[in-house]
Amino acid sequence: MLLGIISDVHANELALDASLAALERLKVDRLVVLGDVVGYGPDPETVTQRIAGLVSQGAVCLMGNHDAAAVGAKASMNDTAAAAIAWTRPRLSEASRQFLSGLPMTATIEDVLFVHADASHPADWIYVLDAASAMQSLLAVKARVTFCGHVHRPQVYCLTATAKVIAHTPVTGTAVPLSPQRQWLAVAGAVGQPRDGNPAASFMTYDTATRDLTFLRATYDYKATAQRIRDAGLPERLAERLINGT
Amino acid sequence: MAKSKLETGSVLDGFTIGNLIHRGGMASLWEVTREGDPTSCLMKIPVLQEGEDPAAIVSFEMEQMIMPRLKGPHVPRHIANGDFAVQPFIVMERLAGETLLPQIDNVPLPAEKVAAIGAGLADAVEALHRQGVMHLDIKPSNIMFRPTGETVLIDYGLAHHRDLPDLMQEEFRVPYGTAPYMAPEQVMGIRSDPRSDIFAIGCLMYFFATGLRPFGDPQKLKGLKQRLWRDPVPLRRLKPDIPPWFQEIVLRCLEVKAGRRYPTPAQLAHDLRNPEQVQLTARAS
Repeated sequence: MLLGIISDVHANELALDASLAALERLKVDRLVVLGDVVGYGPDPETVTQRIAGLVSQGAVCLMGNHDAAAVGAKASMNDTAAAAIAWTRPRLSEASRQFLSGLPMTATIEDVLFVHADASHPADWIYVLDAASAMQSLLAVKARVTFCGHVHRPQVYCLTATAKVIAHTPVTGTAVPLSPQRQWLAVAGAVGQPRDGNPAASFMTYDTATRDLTFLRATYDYKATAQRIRDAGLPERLAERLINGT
Repeated sequence: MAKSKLETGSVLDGFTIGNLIHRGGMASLWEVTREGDPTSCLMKIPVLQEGEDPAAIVSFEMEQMIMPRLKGPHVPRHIANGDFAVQPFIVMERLAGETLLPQIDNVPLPAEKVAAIGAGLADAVEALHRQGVMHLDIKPSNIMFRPTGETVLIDYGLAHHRDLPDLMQEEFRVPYGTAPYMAPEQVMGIRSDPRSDIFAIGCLMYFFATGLRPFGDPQKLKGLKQRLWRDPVPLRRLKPDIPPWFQEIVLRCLEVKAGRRYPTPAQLAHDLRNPEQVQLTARAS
């Protein structure tokens, strides 16, 4: 089965469109959304409804910290993120609020685990930023392969036979074979707010049969989204980082 | 992991096992055939034993990862991988003939002959580097030839792929490689510089042209590290009939700092084929 995996859409409709179009061309069998449907971006209602529609057709969508905050969970966030959440809340329909409130924290397909942040304490929204935090997540789960988001920078970690963690920065379009005799943790890039220096939307495919993981990019009109962020009166920093990819 | 007993005549994933060709410390090699396929194939099976050095397993995983991604005349064609959960193996094209290893009985060879071997080897390494792969274990026993003349590099157990996770990198503290041919940076545990392969070509050419290994065959890390600070004896001092251009080329390959070696195998091959164009420096004297 070919999975299309997207994460951190962050209410960016144009980036979501570009990513979904690319995944459709690759004929993915099933879509997984690793959370943070909303927050930061200018299109929370449209994006939530798009993803709710996909979930009704079999896609899997997880809860992210911004989704939880948008529907009322107490959250510790920086000022910019909190301002965006305050802006988002009144712009969500009741249906969207219900959809976001009902999102699961984790999901499993075959031997693959999906979670928004670190898998050892999913509700604590811990960032998997380095080998040490990857180790914590890997040791906490039985799944051979874990996918998470939250960080907005693509990275692959692997737990070796001698309990060390190898970090690998994936190359766009080069399939990484996830050998079955070790445990893997793949951190997704962000669809709606990449932070690895490349403004193009980031997503991946994973073939559960061949175990090939491929990170991909799709360009979109990020200047248009940035303009919509400015027009909405959201913090300027959120427009800038879309253009810089940081 | 299932421990199946392999023997001539048994069938594994559609391959009929033929004769045992070679049994080494890390792997055994079997002749295999597949129904409806006239090509002669080779099955490589890792030696996996309880308490064994995990490097054997990891290096086999790396080889399973890298070989299917390589193509061209300088690599044995990859045919199939066997699942670790059942019986790990790699099936590849079987090349006729011998490796370069028996030739070490005939060294020293004339510099012109060694330059030809070196140029063919540099072509093969260039083809590999262009596909993002560093071999990191170039030595006579890993070099073969096609009937059409191309040099073929075998054994990718220590290879590094620029765009894939390097499972060998974090796993082991000791450097992996073959003592006489290992570049100084490899001795220090760096596995990502393609110019390490150029150093190995230089070691091989030095050995074949003089009959002596430039850094001996040290068995301990301390001995391996000597190549970081001790210059090899210039070739012409060992064998005065070696031409200056050849010494220039070989000693440039053997520079401790990778930045002072040839930047690419293609440039090395060019110099080896065009001695009159080699710019002589202090290295040649």
